Amino acid sequence: MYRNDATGPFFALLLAAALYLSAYLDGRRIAAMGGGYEDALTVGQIGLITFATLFLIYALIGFFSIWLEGEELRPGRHLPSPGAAVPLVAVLLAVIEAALGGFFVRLMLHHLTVEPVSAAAQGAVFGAMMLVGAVLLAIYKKYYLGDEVLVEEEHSEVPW
Amino acid sequence: MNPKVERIEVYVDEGKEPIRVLTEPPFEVELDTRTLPDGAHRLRIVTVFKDGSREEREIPFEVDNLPDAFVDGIDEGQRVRGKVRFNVRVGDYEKPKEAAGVSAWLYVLSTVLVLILVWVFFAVSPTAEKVAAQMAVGGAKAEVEAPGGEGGAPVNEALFNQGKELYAANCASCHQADGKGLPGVFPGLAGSQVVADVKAALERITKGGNGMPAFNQLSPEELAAILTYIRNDFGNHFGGVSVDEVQKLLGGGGQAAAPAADEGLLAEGEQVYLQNCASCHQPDGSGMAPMFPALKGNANLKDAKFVIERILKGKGAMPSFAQLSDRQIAAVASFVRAKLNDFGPVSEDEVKSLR
Repeated sequence: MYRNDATGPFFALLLAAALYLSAYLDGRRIAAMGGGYEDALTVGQIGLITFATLFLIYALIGFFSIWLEGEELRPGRHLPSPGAAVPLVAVLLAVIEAALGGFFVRLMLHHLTVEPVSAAAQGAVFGAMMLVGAVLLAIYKKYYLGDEVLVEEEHSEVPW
Repeated sequence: MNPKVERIEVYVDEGKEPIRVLTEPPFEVELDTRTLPDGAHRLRIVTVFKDGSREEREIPFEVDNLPDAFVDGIDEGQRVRGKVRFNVRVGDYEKPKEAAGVSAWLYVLSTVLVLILVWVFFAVSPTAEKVAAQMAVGGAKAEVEAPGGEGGAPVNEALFNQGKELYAANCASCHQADGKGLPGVFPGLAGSQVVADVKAALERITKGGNGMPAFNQLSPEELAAILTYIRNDFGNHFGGVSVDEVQKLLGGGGQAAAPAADEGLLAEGEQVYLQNCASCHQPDGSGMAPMFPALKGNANLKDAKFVIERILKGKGAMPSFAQLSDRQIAAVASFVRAKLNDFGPVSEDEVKSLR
């Protein structure tokens, strides 16, 4: 099949959103029962969030493939053609990545030597770093790496 | 070579004689365009076949060996008056091209240098340190403290020390001696929103909730001591809590006034149930099979002794709730028996006798 179908990722995204919402509403209900304060995630919430994240990653991979290769794969070699804006965006993102990297080191040193920094703050900075890194890699793959789509015979020797 | 082809003749323009005749590979032709004047020309490739037939192909091309003059100072169609001075420049195609702009290496090196500078700035600059301090637990605590505006309440040293001992005896096993708790299991008290709010903290201690059992056996003085301690240690500076303040928040009499009627007992039981039991047995008593049994329509609850003992001692996944007072156990047992089922209420004396 030489297609990147968007149906699967779309419904996975929908399911992920529903599960995230369920986890949030579960938290609100528990908070209401506990006098308006929510201390930590419950096992149920962690389970919901885990499956939501699983579906979210599946959806993101699907949409990422569509963005990289298009909905229909055309056999042949596809050479990238980055415009003038792509290197500019890449350099800007690299600067942001370097800034986040430096700041993460500062945050860790503060955490270890001065006073504890909340895990949420550490996670947010590190997550942002990883996200920018992922976008940089995606840009490199999309605009700087050539691609080749091979054609297989319909009745090839491989049984699957 | 195609066996039908005899030879290939190459002509330039209208020349009668071919500049090359090709009969065998390689069919490579070198044409020195400097022998031709600048301008339009055409190449004629004539293929002669063995049967005498011919096929001709024309390829027009343009020779540009001599560069045009570039005039700097006067434009086409420009209106001029008096003396006009302009420069005429003629390029040289033979001259080797000079590399324009920066080399790729310089570009990469400067980018790397800029990235290193950015990294170093964010790693060591005082501004970054300030932002990191804001994101630290202490910084968050300051934000929590601000809305309540209660950071300035004086701390009673005697209460603080008493609270420290009570904390070690009652709270440290879960929230840990350093108040950091166990992430994901027992919440930390440093910078906690609940701890910042006296009323919320007091309710959490006396009524429990969110997995924490109720500590309603503590006197108002002990409660004030614990509150004073947890609000002013572990990096917290939320201010002290007086015994009067605790008594006022508890409703004057320390613990809730005893309800006179059965309805009052059932209402209290419902509260105890929601705080201690509903997270497993569900608010409507339907439970979560197979882990947590349903209490609604459960025939086992007909035996009051069974209910009280299960609450007091626990069994399997169910923990003991012996820390609840006799009245609270009687209330919650009455609630699950009379409200969720059609069995009678339970008295405090029954609980006391089984404790």
